[in-house]
Amino acid sequence: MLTALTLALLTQCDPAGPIVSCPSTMGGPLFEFAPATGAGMTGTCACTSPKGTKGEAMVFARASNAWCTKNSTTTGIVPGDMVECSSAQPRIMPGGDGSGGNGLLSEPALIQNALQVRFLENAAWTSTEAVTANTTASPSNAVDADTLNDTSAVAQSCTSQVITTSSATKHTVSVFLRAGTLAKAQLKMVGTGNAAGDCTASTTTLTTPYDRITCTSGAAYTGALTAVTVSVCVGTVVGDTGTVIAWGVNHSVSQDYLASFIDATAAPATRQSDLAHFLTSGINGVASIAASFVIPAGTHPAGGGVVSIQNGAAPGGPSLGLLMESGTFVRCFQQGGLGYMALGGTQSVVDRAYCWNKGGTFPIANCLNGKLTAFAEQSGNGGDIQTVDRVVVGAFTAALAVGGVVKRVCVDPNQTRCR
Amino acid sequence: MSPTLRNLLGFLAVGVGGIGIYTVLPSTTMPQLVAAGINADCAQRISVCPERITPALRNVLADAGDVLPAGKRYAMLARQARRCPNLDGGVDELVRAVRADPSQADSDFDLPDPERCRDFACAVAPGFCAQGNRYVRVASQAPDCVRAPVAGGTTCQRAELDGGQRYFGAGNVFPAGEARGTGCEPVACTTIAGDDPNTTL
Repeated sequence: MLTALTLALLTQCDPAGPIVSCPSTMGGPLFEFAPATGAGMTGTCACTSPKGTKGEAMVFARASNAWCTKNSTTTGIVPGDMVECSSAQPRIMPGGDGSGGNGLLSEPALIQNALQVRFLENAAWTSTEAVTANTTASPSNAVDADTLNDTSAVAQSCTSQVITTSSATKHTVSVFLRAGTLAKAQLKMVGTGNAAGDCTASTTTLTTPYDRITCTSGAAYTGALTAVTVSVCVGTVVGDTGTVIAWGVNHSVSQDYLASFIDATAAPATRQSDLAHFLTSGINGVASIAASFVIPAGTHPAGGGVVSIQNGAAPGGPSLGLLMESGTFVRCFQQGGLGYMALGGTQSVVDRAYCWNKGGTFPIANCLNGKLTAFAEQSGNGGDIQTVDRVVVGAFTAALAVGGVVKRVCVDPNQTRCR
Repeated sequence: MSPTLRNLLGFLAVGVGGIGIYTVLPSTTMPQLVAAGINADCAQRISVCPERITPALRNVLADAGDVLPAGKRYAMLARQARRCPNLDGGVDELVRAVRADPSQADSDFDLPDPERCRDFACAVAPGFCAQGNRYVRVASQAPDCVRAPVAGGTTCQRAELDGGQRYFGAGNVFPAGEARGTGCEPVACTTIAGDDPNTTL
């Protein structure tokens, strides 16, 4: 009977599923954060610090306010879904389409350049359509979304802002929209002096919840750029008339993925980076680490931290870590050796990445999505078996964050316990 | 910048869109930096950036003789810096941190917008690069941006792309080079999310 039960459990082992489903995890990993069970986690967007599954305290820093999203980050957003957390408050949320349990949103610092982003009636904007302020509950649950009304049969009506910038990079703009009497709208970005990064995003399927519409440069602007004009337009063609509801326009440079919303009134605002770690003991650089993460499609910072173990602030980098690499790879980083595993281009949910430093001459093995699809022992000196005093979730330095939600973090000296 | 030198540095404050700006950990000694090649690889410079004024930074500036008004939380500051070639063919700028605790080395160095940083030769401010304790000062350059007064008045206007000009709203910040009319207030260009630009710039 017992043998039959054991066999049944073995056949149910799913490396991509809950960690506790695998026999190799019996006894439990040394450290876990944001498991599928939700153990140790605080409420979604409660702006309070979670713990590890064994009660380990999170040490968290962010020197600015930042916004958290309770469900999907792009569609079906209802009033109250978005919460503004104060500085030094972590954002606990699911990320992506809102599924898969909560994790920690870890983003690098980002500057949002548009002004009065919640107040399209402000003089910072110019409109060829009627803008009625504060008509509708916005994603923040405040009644501060604005109604844009296009009554012209001979021209498309837009609300626009000129942003002075010469940044020869890819730019990203976004806006929260919902249907009024019309389900169609456009978001446009047009450069002055250069058009290489111009873009238009159209939607014809707006409904009552908000969608976050995004427009990203397909190519970088060149050095001739002097400004971009960001426009929110009612309808998609000349002759479309009616109303849509708009809130929260963002513009940023040097970035081609949709970051979390950043509020700004009379001046551009910087959202600072999220820095989180848990102090731990009983481990050194010979260990395995694993995590799942949800990232917006785009190019994420090379070296952006997903999860790592290190000693102190470790300015030279972690002892062992899962890091982003050029947007399409995950790097298994160990002092002295690197391993890479392909993410597969546009993949935005990684479930799950694994990294093992076994020590010795060829210290690293890795796999993706619970399968040994990229199992490869990488060359390295194997000599940096460092003392480790912390597990870092997300960024290990201020500029090197994964730019997404990190969840189901596991660290253990054993080779297989976190897989 | 050599890997050895890079390993002696603290946090990359903000690295988007241009020069990476690193703080030198207070625990790192000059002999360590020299041994790692800082004199051979990195030219002494003055880095001028818009920064948020933290309490620690406010005290250091006051000790150097630069007392800022209590409500002012952003200013253009000059710091002693080293400009080093990095391994990617670009350059990194190293600046000295204020705090003594390495774990908080970044908390006194908030850059609202690194693309507004400027780099100068030491000769533009004679003696500054050689000063031991006065390594950060309020820069004399006027702020990069302006605004129409928060209290009201529409004589400060912003130039438009078509050659015209218009009132841009009370307190809304725009580049100083686009200022037209009269009554524009010089202010810093960006804030940290959560700060009120009407009272802190």
